[in-house]
Amino acid sequence: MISKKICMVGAFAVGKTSLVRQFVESIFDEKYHTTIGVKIDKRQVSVKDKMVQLMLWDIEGVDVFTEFKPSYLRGASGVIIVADSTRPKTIEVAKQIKHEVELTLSNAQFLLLINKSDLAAKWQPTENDLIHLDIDSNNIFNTSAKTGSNVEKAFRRIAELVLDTQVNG
Amino acid sequence: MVERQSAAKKIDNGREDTDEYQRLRTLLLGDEYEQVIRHRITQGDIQRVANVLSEAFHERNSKDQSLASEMSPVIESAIDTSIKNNPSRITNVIFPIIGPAVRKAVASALADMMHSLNHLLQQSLTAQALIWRIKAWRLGVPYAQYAILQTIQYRVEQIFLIHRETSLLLQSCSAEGVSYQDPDLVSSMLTAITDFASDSFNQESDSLNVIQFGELTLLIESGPFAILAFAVRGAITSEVKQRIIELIENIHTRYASQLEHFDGDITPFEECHSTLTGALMQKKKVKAPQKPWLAISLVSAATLVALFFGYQHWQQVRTVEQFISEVEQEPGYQLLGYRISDNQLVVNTLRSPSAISVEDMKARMTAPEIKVKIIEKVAAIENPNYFLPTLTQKYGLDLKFEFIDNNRILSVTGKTTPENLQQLKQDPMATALFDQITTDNLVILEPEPEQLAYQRQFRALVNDINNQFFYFESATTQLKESSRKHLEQTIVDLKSLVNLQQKSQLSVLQITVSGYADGKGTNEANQILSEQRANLIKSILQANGIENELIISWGLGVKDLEKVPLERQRRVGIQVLYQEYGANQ
Ligand SMILES: Nc1nc2c(ncn2[C@@H]2O[C@H](COP(=O)(O)OP(=O)(O)OP(=O)(O)O)[C@@H](O)[C@H]2O)c(=O)[nH]1
Ligand SMILES: [Mg+2]
Repeated sequence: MISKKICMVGAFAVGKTSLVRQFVESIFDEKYHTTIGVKIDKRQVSVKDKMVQLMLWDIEGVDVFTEFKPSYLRGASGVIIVADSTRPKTIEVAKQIKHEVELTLSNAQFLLLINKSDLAAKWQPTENDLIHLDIDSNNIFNTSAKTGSNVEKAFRRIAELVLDTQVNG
Repeated sequence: MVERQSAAKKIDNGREDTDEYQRLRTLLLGDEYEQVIRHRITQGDIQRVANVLSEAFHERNSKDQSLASEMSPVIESAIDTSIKNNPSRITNVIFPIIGPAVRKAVASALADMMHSLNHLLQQSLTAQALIWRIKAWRLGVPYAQYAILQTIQYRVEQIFLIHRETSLLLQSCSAEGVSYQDPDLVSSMLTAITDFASDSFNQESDSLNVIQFGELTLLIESGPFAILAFAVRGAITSEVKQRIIELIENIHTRYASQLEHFDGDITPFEECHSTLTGALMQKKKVKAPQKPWLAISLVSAATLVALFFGYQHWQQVRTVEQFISEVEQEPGYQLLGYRISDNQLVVNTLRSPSAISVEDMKARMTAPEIKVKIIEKVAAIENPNYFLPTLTQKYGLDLKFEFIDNNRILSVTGKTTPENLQQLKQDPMATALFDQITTDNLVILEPEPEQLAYQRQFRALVNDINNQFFYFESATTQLKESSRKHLEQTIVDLKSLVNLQQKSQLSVLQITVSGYADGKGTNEANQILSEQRANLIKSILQANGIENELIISWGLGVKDLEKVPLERQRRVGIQVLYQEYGANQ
């Protein structure tokens, strides 16, 4: 079997933990418990007749007290950057993090999730944001950890991406 | 340089010379002259020096030592630069070498410590100490070592082998009866914790190698590419530490390239499961000796008492062994098991009513200085069927009880070896229960003639070899890492095969090496690539001493169906053809 390490990164309270929980356990909780350090979960998905075990590293969100710790990224094949559709500032954080991740990881696959799509969106990614992030539009999803919308699809997509790198590599 | 210039000049002059001079030169020196001149000019200086470089080194080296002293500053600075540019590279190379050296130093330091400890301990003269001394003497180990083992108790309950870069679990195992936590998650958490700690304490190396979790201690040992973690219950001894270090080094040597090029596929590491299981060590604390003896603490008295006690304990072990073997021999008794509890030997047996009673048997025992409790199940003789399952299990035969002419007959069917049947006929239980054993319908397996065994081995090897394929990286003749190992195995197999020829009277006719390419690219390119792949394997076989005349190789281009994955199409297979000795001669 093939295992791959995937990291969830982004500003605080954007829904990283909730997305993983929805994907792994199909549970959503309105309560907010901030993540300290890292929480790890796993789930298997089949991609093109192959089983891939995703080891999901839900990394603490970036805020004024917590700076981004690149050491958690070591060996990751995929990075899921999460932003919050109700907080425009979270896309700025996302850009910042993307930049830092690229300094640590050379070959990772990226996904951008704009989460909380069940709520009224307060912002849309601008042309400039997209150029900055340099993520293919196929790899950007509007998700909701609450309703589960696009969650399965997004994680499947990252599984495909990390598996593809392997076949070509 | 000088020579070449003058040669060039000669040519220039030659052009100005008269025709006669030119002709004279050609007549005297022939075409060769022109050739040499041209060769000298076209071949650059670098090329020429390159051609003789190693010979020149050799030549000079045999004359004096100057070359070495000239080279050493260059080499030193080269190593310096290499370390500066990529320190991990050199660590990776050194790691397997330096481990044993360090261990040796530690071992001698430890031996010193042991020695002084031994000295210290020899001063004490407690009853406990004397008993241990006797036991140590009996076991043939130094007293200090024995004493330490008695005071500690540990058990390695789980082992995790983790890929360092990705923190993905490569392999894990756990001791029997240990509740199994999700090892994938444990391994990830473990590396996350160590990362966290080394981040927080700004430590350069991963020096966090022991983590306490309640009763469990996690002992962590990192190599350049993998981390090994032992979950240990109880005190961690140097033995365990030594084992974990040896194991991680061993794994690095064995799986160097698989670890370095790990891409998430854990299958290559499955075969190290048994190695890990072998490291699930444990040590139990021996029960403390009985209190009354210890209470007497006058030195002289204690000496005597303890000596006696030590002797008695030793005697007891012997007695138990003897007693058990006597029970086993006793007709009509079947030993089901035994244990020692509360200083009493408890024996479970199955007894046929025709056998002597427990009391009689105990009385007959030659070594009865032991408290024995025998729990017996008496089985009615009217129904020897009661015993059949035990015998069936013991001998792996189909057994049936028949009662004919007042005779209790055990009829045996199935297949067995002569030795097994002999044992059944002598089994105390069988002889006590039955008057007669019939074996009319029993198939007795003849011991296999040696040659047949060798032939079986030969065919099995051929089968292994023929079923092994070697896979290549895309569009190259570069073998995949995993296949490299398989190829090594196949070479070993091929050699064994050749060696088996005489004994098995089978001879290898031909070793066919066929190369294939995947469906990508042009037909011609694939044809060539497949030939190159086959030739590569052929040359490796030859280089490893497989007889040249036996091997033929060919490239088959692309032959697979489209649905075969590309990476499996890129392969070489080996077929061994063989025949019986002299069949064609
Ligand atoms: N309506 C709505 N709420 C969400 C959604 N996802 C997360 N939340 C809520 O947002 C809050 C934060 O979610 P978390 O998943 O804990 O956020 P996080 O990114 O893990 O936060 P940190 O661990 O602090 O970095 C919680 O109260 C969630 O219930 C969503 O898709 N829709
Ligand atoms: Mg969280």
